[in-house]
Amino acid sequence: MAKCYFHSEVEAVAYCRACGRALCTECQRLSLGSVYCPEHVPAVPPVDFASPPVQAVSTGGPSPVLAFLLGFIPGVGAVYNGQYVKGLVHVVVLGTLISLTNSAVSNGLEPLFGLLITLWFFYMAFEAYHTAKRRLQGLPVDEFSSLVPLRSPRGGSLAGPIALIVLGVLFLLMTLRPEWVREVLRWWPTALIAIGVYLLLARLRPRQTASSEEAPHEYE
Amino acid sequence: MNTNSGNMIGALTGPILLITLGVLFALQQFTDVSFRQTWPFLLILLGVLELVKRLTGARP
Repeated sequence: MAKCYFHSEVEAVAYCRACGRALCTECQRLSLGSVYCPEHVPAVPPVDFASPPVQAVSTGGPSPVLAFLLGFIPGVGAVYNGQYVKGLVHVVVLGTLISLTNSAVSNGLEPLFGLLITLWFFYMAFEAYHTAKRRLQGLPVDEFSSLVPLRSPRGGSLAGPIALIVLGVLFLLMTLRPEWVREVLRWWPTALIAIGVYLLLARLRPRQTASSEEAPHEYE
Repeated sequence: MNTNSGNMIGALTGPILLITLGVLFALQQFTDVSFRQTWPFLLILLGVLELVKRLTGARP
């Protein structure tokens, strides 16, 4: 066994990670999970135990820009954020949209589905961007979070089941009375106009409404 | 009481869905109503069961 570089009479127990010098127990410096000699020990800021642990340390936190770019690949943006279920959901939604576009359902509605697919791609990218940003800031991220808050503060929301029922009724109409559905769906551009008008009115309204929504929630 | 009925719905969801599935396929076998037309019933049923579960079971 080698002798210590600094104390030639003492047996070395470790080697510096930076320069490879043999070190005795007295000379070795443990830092960042590795051994260094006193010369090469990196300056580490003292750990503040009072503050809560932050997910992202300065070395290689998640990059929101990279998440945004990866978000254009279906599901990959969410996987980059470590949210595998969300990635799967993103892929399934996109697959459903594409298969609907190619099915007879989209007869005459191709522009609408093209719009929806484009929107979905951008949604995935922005969702991944915001999640990565939250992770970078050390904020908690939820596997089932989205840009649009679906979950009510109380936990269980009613939006999911109601959406399921509405979807079921729509599909049922589509299979049993396709001509009705086609007649109604011809008017889809009016939905764009309606959404536009709604957003316009929401912007024009004074800002007070936003704060009033944050009324104290009932906690059980 | 309420939590119990919520749990009850959760426990009954599987059998109820299976029965509905059986009825839908039976309709396809014995009548002109094919499963391709009736499958959205399953979505509606799932939604209704979930809704009942949340309305009765979510609040302690």
